Amino acid sequence: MTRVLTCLMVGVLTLGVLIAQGARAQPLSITITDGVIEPLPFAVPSFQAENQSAAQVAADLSRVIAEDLTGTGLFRQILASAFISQISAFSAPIQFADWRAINTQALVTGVVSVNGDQLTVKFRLYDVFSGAELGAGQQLAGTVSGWRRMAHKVSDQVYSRITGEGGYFDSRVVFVSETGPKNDRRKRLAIMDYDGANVQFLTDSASIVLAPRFSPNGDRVLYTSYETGFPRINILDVASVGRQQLATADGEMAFSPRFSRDGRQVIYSIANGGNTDIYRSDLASGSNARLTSAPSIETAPSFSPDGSQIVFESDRSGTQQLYIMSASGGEPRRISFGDGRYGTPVWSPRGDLVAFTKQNAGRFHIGVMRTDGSEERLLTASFLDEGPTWSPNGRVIMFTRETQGADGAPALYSVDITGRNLKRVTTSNAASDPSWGPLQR
Amino acid sequence: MKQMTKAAFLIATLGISACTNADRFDNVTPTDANSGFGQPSGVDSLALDPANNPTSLQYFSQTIGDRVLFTVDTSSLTAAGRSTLDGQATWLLTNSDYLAVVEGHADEQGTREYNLALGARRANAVREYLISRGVPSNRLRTVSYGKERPTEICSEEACYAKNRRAVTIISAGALS
Amino acid sequence: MSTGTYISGAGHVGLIGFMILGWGFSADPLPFEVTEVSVVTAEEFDALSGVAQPTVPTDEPPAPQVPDVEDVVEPPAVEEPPAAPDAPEPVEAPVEDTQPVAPEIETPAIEVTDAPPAEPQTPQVETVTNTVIGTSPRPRPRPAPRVAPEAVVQPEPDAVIADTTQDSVQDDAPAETPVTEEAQQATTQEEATTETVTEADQEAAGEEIVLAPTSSPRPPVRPSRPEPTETATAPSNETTDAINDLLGDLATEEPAASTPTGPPLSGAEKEGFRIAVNNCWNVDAGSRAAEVTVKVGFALDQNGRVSGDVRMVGASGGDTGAQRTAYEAARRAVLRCQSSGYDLPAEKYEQWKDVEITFDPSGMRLR
Repeated sequence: MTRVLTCLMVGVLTLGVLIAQGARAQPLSITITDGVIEPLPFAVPSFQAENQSAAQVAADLSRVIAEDLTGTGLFRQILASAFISQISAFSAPIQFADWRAINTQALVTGVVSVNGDQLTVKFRLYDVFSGAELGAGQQLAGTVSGWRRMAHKVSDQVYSRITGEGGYFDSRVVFVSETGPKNDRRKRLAIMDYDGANVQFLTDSASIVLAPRFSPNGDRVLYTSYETGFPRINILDVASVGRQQLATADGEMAFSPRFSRDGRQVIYSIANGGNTDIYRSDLASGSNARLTSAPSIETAPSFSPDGSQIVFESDRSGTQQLYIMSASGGEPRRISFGDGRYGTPVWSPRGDLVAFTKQNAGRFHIGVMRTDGSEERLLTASFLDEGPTWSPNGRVIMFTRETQGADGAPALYSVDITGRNLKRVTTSNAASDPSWGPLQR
Repeated sequence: MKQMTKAAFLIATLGISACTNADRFDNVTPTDANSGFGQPSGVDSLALDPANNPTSLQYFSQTIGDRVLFTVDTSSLTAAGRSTLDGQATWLLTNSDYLAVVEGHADEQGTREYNLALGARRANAVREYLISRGVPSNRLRTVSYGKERPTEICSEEACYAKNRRAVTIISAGALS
Repeated sequence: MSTGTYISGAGHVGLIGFMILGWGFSADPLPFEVTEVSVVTAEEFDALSGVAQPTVPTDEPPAPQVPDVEDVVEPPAVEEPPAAPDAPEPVEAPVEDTQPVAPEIETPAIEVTDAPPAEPQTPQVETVTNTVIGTSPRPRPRPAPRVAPEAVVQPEPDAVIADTTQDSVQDDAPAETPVTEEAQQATTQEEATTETVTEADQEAAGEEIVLAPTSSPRPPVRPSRPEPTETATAPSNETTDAINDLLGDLATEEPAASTPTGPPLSGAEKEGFRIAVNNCWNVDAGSRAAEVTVKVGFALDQNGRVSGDVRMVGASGGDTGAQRTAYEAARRAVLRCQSSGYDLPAEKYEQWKDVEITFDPSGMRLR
């Protein structure tokens, strides 16, 4: 009997195996952890001009859009010399095969018309690979003199539709323009488009001005001024260029100011009796509160995007390090633990990273770290880099780089948060202390 | 005889010319300095050798020394610094109508805000020492220029050492 | 004989018969091509191909051009060049797919020595005025505009850039395959490095930085390529058609009753598939989408081409917008790199006709 059972069991098992083999196979499962990082090829054929007076603007617009996108390091322009088919009219159907053949993945077309001093721009963005529009076409209207802003707005649209994140091209940067030798520097407050165009001066060079900081909606600038002979904080209105002194707590010196994210409060440092601490001022009521009271230097404070925390630098441990504390004051916790000194922390607008200046072994670096101090990464290295500021979408950092020696002079540089695409921001004079404003409405 | 007379006259003339009083102008300066509020010392001081006048500003800056130096990232006074400051304190107590502003400076090897704070620390260290030597505190103010006003512009320790300083600037003015 | 023996015998017979006749299994035999091979004399073959005896195809990659001697670049993981098909002797060898699996450009480890490299085709390494200071314990990635899993040396200036690397297939190579092949232009991948090299990284590498060469030896002009596409395809088409006709007469349709699934996919095959998709997966390292792990599913037809759409099976990390962006990038990766179909073994089709791929960029974020 057992033999029968054994044979039956063997038979059943064999059957089972066969059935399992013939059963429908599971989907093939693969995990991919390695990709490539490469710029996405795009093309901006020169925008059409609806009338003769628009021809120059159309060409300029296309050029600025291409420069914006190429300047991010995420896009690579396919030049007109490589085009197979041309865009004959804005509404003409696109020969996607021709664009695919030259390896274009994104295509921007547009048409421009000028009516007196009114400028109208229409554009469309195509995903060549899928052979369809990416998002809806848009029309922008404004004045001819504002054509650069229109170009930046188109670039912002293209950028955000492709990357899924906000852009940063229609923004301005306030900074200090410097002239003269190192031992007799003249400094003036200036403002420009993020790419260096349209520079305007906001102060004269009669007294030292330092470290301007934009308000969150871009209407005001805080900065440190020596016009009274002592460092004091001024608030300047960008539209009227009028300024007034901030009513701070009592102290010999006030400096290092920053706005809160709602623009209603200012945090800053006061130096009194050799000791520097952090204070907060409410702009509406004028009241001031002291947030730190340690015998060490506490300065360079920066709010988190939600306004609940402040990151700052302090040398209470013996060397400059970064600390985070609640916005109402309280026990700070240290977040920097590497070799060297850390300073000028700035919280990213995305809330995920803190940018800082690090000094180690005679070199300066701009770096980023997570808000708990982990994943510290150094992005640059030079004789003197300092003072990072974030782009509105939290992906690019602009900072000051000064060269060595008696002829040393500062200039503005920008770098992606991955450390790629390090390049100089062109300014006609030496420049320092940039502060990147928000996307303009 | 004639040769002897000429010689004698010559010698006598030379001898008389040596009778000039080199200090004949000395009494003029102190009065001017004390009465000229915020005004230059007037024509009389032009003929004076200021470095020798213990009450002149130039004497203060050149002979006594208006600055003390610091080592990297410190605000503590060296022995040399202290002796300079002793001289400053004495001068300030002697010339009690002057106010002083102590400027703190740093070299370029640091970030902007921290250097402002460090300069403030240095200026304050000097101020406190002067106070400890008897200078009334309401005659002393401090300001920091961080790394904004270097005197030496090379990027080496020789220049850095000179830029890390606290300078006492004398100003004449009403006590405020 | 005992009852037990009878039962056992009946059971065995039943089982064996069941296995032979396949009751209950309704799978149609998978269509696949069987090419019967017969011996053809050399003359007949020449008559068919109408071409003089072709030269021995060298399946080595095109002569390694002198890359920028800026760095000691670890030779990328070079797969062995596929076994060169035998010289076109009368076809006794089984049909081999002569389409080479994409090898990267072979780079001899560059040392500044006096001995020129062994290959006669390599142009003389000119003495470039640069120095490798010390011995670098591990190759340092060089900054390059593109980051990819394997480093690709800077291609020569007039190389055609494409997503994969192909050799130029001479159209006078013995086209023994029944598959029509277009003559391929030699393409190379864009110059790539394995990591993002920031300025701080370059500095941290210290004195091992090789000074940039003051002169860059220009590679000599490549020999002119065979005429592209049109003219090349035609003769090879004729050739393969003629051969097909001949062979078709001899072929017999014999659906093999092999198991529908075959042995499991080997690691190498999976790896090949993974690498193929890799190269088109463009990761935006600084974006929020780089924190999203997304899983997509799709079906493949027998040629390895995607049939239907690539759908999102699941995603983790990031918000919905970031997940959407990550899914779009994954979808693009799968669709862009299929070209004429993913290279997967036809006999194992059942195993790979449905695919799910998980794209995890967490390692790429800091690269």
